[in-house]
Amino acid sequence: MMFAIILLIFSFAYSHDLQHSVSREGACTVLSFYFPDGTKFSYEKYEVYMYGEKLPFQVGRTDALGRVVFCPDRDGRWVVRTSSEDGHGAIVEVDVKGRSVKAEGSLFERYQKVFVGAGLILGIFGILEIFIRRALW
Amino acid sequence: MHIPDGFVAPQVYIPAYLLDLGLLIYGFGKFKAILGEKTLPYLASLSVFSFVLMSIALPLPGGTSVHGLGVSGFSLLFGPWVSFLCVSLVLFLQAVIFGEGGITTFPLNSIGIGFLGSFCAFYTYKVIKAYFKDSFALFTAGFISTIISALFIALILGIHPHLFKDASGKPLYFPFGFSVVIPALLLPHIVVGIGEGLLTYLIIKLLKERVSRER
Repeated sequence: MMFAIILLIFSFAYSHDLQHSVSREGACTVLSFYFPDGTKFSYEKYEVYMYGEKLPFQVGRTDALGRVVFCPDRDGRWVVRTSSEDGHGAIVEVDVKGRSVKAEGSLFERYQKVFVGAGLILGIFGILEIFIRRALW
Repeated sequence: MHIPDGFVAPQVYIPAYLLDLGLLIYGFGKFKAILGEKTLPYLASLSVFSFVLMSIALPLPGGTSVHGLGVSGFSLLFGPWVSFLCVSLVLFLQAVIFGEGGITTFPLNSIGIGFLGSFCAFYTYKVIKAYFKDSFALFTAGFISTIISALFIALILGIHPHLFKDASGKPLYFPFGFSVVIPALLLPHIVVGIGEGLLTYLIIKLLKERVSRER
């Protein structure tokens, strides 16, 4: 029972990790925000800043697909902040250089290999444990 | 430090596969002998620790990045053969599932990081401990094993442009010679070596007594 409750709590924690992806469409940068289960971060407030500047370059709400589209007037690092009333949100730094655009992945994306790998290794040793116990019996 | 696919000639990786397989089969006997209900959680945890260290790249000034290995502490706790086998398992999973380090180059990574790293740590500790304090021996074991692994990888890569060229003299596999690849690999790994040395000291101080009691 306790295990089920813990799993339930973790499943909510997972759903709170707002993911994003970035692409370049012509002269504009498109940032898409979504939750791991595919739900779009739609109609939420966002602000776009040139890195280090206090005045926003653009403000608005994400579209139905959870996208922020902005057309930067110069190369450099841009910061996109988005948040919803219920406390979800993300701050993403986007490097714009000519036709290329790059953004840091979310923590989950960055470390999912580590989680999967650690799980696999523990699983392999878990199977070994079963064999050892069988041998002991 | 892992060598990716395409950098190494078949004339190098095929014999390396044979050598590595032989070593792994021999090592498996040692691994089986130590495997028990009490040791297994330690082996699993240290393997995961090694995997996590190898998976997290730390950026260094100059645009390069390095990662830890977690080999030397493992080797000093459970012996070099067990460490070699477990680290090779980690490297195999990284190559096959995550594309970190190649499948063709797996035996070279396994020999360089797993075998040389484990044995260098084990014997460096034994030699240094005879003359110096235990803490210094632990640190040196971690440091030397990292540097030797990096040197092995650098030598394997650096020899390729000298051995494998097309008719016009263009390298067929890894393009940079010893003068480029040795400093490029060894200098950043001095930082890794210091980290490994400190980690080795901490791991042994934390686990040695408990592991030796339970083995």
